[in-house]
Amino acid sequence: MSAAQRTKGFSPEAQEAIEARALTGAWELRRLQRVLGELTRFDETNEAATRKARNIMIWCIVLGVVSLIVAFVSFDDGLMWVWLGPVVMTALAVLFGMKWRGLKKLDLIDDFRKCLMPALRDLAQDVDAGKRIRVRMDLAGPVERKQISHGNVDPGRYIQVKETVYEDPWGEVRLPLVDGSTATLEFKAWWTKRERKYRGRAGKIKYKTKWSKKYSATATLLPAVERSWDEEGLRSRTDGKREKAQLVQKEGVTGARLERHWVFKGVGGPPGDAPPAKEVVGMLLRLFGAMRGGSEVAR
Amino acid sequence: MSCGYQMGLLILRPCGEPVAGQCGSCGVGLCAAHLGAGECPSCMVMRGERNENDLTREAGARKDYYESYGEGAHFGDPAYFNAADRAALRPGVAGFAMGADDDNDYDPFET
Ligand SMILES: [Zn+2]
Ligand SMILES: [Zn+2]
Repeated sequence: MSAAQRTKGFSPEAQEAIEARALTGAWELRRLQRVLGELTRFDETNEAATRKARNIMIWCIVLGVVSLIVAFVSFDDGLMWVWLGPVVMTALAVLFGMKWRGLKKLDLIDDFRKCLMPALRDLAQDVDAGKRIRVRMDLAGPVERKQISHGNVDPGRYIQVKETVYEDPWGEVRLPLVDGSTATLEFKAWWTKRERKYRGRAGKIKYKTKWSKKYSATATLLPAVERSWDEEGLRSRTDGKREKAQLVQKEGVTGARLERHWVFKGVGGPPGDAPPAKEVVGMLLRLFGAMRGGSEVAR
Repeated sequence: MSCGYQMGLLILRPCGEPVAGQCGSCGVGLCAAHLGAGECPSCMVMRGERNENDLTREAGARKDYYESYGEGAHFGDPAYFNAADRAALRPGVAGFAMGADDDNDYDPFET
């Protein structure tokens, strides 16, 4: 299935986002949810197609090698057509290899569907349906323009370790809530790729690529009018090892902010993990809990 | 009379639509949408029927959040969320530090 076929029937906004690997603008909640749903469907089918193309390519290489051996063995018999096998297999391997690369270039990071969408679903009942949600999402993941460092680092017990770091502030969402307050969620990932060269047990040189993904999610709550905050209370509910709480002056009011960190790891490819939506929504719950007197609408 | 069903997750507020009946379990006045089959979404979730419709799914999600975060205290209470955080802040996760060497031997993805 081609990329165009996979987006057939999608909204123009979703098609545009898939093309740009980004989503921005001011959205109605339901509309935003629908487009994110379309992006999810695209990304899932694209990932399946990518895996398939890669597997076919690997099989073609394997069969190519096998048919090459067969060709060598039977060449003495004067059969020219035995060379057809390796030639066809090589051509197919190249073809599917190209397809694989092409599909990989369309991939969207999973974070929007693993973290942001479930969070939006849980927060939906508090979003002011009459206002728009401002969104800025870059779904391209660790691509060259986000590279902030590249080079050899202290190899430790390995022969060589090449490290590439990508800084990816991929998402910002600004939610207008029913009590007039505004909640913003910001997501930033640092993707680190470590290519290790080392000597295996038998003395052979080996290579291994490891990825890690450091993560920060920041939740900010700006009340509609100036409110006082239970700063002490908020701090006491903060995990000093991976969270930071602070009051911020923004847009004429005192707001509160919580930042939380995660680390994910992967071998071979960039980790698709993202912060659990419950932990992100949990930050907003704690911020609301620290607002003295509770919410306007709640009274 | 207006519907007294508490809506919201971050911002709890009564629904406020005109009352059409009462919840058969907790007795709160409910609008047509929240009355459903005769019970409010919260009471349905209490009975384990959380996948009945969108309203019960919302009420179920809220219950999960409040239980893991609140443990009995009311939303807005100073004591609120204390137990929550201990539960949510799962220990054993690597700390965050930019540039720190997280190249340790333990790797859950190692095969
Ligand atoms: Zn009830
Ligand atoms: Zn109601």
